[in-house]
Amino acid sequence: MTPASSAKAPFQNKLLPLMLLLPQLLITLVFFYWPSVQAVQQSLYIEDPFGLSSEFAGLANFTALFKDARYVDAFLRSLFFSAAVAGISLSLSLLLAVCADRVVRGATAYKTLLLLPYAIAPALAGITWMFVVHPSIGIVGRAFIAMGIEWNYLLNGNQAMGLVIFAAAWKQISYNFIFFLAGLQSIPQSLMEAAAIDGAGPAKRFRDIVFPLLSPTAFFLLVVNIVYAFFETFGVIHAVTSGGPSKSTEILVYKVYSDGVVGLDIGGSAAQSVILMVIVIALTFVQFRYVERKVHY
Amino acid sequence: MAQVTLDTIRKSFGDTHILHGISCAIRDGEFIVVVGPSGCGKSTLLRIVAGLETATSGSITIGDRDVTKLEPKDRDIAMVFQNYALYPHMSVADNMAYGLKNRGMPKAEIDIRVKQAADILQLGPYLARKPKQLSGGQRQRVAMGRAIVREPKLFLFDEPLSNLDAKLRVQMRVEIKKLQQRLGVTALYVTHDQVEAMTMADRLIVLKDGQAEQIGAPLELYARPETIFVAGFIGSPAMNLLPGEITEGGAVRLTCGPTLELIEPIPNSAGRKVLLGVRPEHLSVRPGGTFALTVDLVEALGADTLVYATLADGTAFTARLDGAQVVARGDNLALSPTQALHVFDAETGKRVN
Repeated sequence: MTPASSAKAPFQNKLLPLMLLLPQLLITLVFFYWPSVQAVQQSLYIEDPFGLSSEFAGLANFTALFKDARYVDAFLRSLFFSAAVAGISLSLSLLLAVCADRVVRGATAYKTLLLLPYAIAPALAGITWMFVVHPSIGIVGRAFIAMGIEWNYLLNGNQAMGLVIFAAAWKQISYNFIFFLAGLQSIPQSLMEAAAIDGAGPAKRFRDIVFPLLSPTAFFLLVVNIVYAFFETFGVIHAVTSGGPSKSTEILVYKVYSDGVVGLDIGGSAAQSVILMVIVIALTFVQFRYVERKVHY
Repeated sequence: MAQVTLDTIRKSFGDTHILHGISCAIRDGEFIVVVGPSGCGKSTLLRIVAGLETATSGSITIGDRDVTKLEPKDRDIAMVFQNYALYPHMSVADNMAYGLKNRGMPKAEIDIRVKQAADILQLGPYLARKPKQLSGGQRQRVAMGRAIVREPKLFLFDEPLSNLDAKLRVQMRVEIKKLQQRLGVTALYVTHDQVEAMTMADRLIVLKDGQAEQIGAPLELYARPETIFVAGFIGSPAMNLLPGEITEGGAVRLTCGPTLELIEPIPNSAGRKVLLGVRPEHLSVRPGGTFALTVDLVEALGADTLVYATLADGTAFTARLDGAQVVARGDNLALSPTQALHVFDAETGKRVN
């Protein structure tokens, strides 16, 4: 440490800062590093069905996974699911943010109402939508049937997928909305006015000025939404479809659970979670590497 | 290039009246400065001319066209903003070209115009840079460049120099004025800085509480301010304003003692309450002079000396004396006015003589 930077340090000795950091470090250690290390370790072993013995298997768990057509299916399904969730929630929240940015009267009320879904746990969001679209008790579900649509997400895999995508995206809209709105409000009004004088109409102003200036925010949110869709949507899927019907909504994170906790294939499940961990690390890396740098203003 | 006519422009938000009917005929190529304290409505006036806000009533003509109801882009104007409003994600060249592209100008011609503007403003080496890689003065010039490539009928400036440091401000002030003279484009310039206003304007509009107090050439306003506000606002240090009343003979008897004869006595106004205006620079030291002062503070600037003093009854008084004067705090000084005095009605604030 150079003398200049040590002179700025607010702590005289090293004990106090360590003590202040300790609770957070302990939590991270116990709830993050320990399970992570165990997952990596378990992914290298094969355990017998009764959990009595395990033997070292090297990368056998991983090679088995990529040979398993069902795993590859789940992988592709996850990609589709997260692209759909991110796409729907990002575009709807951008639309809402642009609208909310223009509202003058009652703006606070709109914003508060738009933020509320974020306070709901993913599982509850799923259950709520399940009650709305349930084929025999949901208002919308019964309306579908009344219109002659063969609506039953309990039997139809595509409909089930649509439902979990919708519920997962709906919950994330609030989060994206806050960031988009903040991004929109940080664009100086005079830029819009300058563009108006420069002959750009509202649509052109959005395309040429607003969107490029929002792009760092949009990219950040894209990464956050993908991570959300990959990992945090477990609750939605578990509550609404439990991965069914016939695995049609089983995304990677759900397969980790069903293979490990239900199927008791500890090694295979651990290998899957290690792969998920690598994906998250890669996404986070991309985010720090490119997002921080691309901010324009 | 065009003449611009503002006809009784009014602006109100509900019961709040921002502008109370501003009228002004601007000649082709004229540099008009709108000056006034903050909140006087000067920026609102400019934004109404730009079309960024709509007037409650009144009309605007640019050239031969009534533009009152037109969108900003159809008014053939260009505006320089206080914070420059450069597009942060575009290069300097793209910033200047954006307005031309939107009007569907061929690329070859855009390139020529941008190149010309860059030459005039010495921006050639920076065309590929982004605004954040430029200094304040350079950004200012890009904002100017964006305005001139359009070759508009009217330039609008919204306090364009207030974000620059003092030295750069003086430099850019000269550059803007030179550029405007060279291009011969009519300009409307808003500022709160009276030095900027005096030095740049062909004619000034002094605005106060949404009303034009006086419109005229800078020296006209200096020599013959029509109201107390203009008298106090134009000129630095500000004019001394002393209370008094008109005598039988048409002279002014000040509350603080002395009676001053005027070159043209004011007839039939005996007893009328007035304020007498004396510019600090229109005074000289004379034994037995009209104003007997006690010096409080001296600022010697070399070329002249500012003396802050009090009259016998405690009224503050400022004088600007030529050259380096040997005056110190606590000295007693007698000063006499050297030029015509200004007399204003104490109630209406209007000029009397």
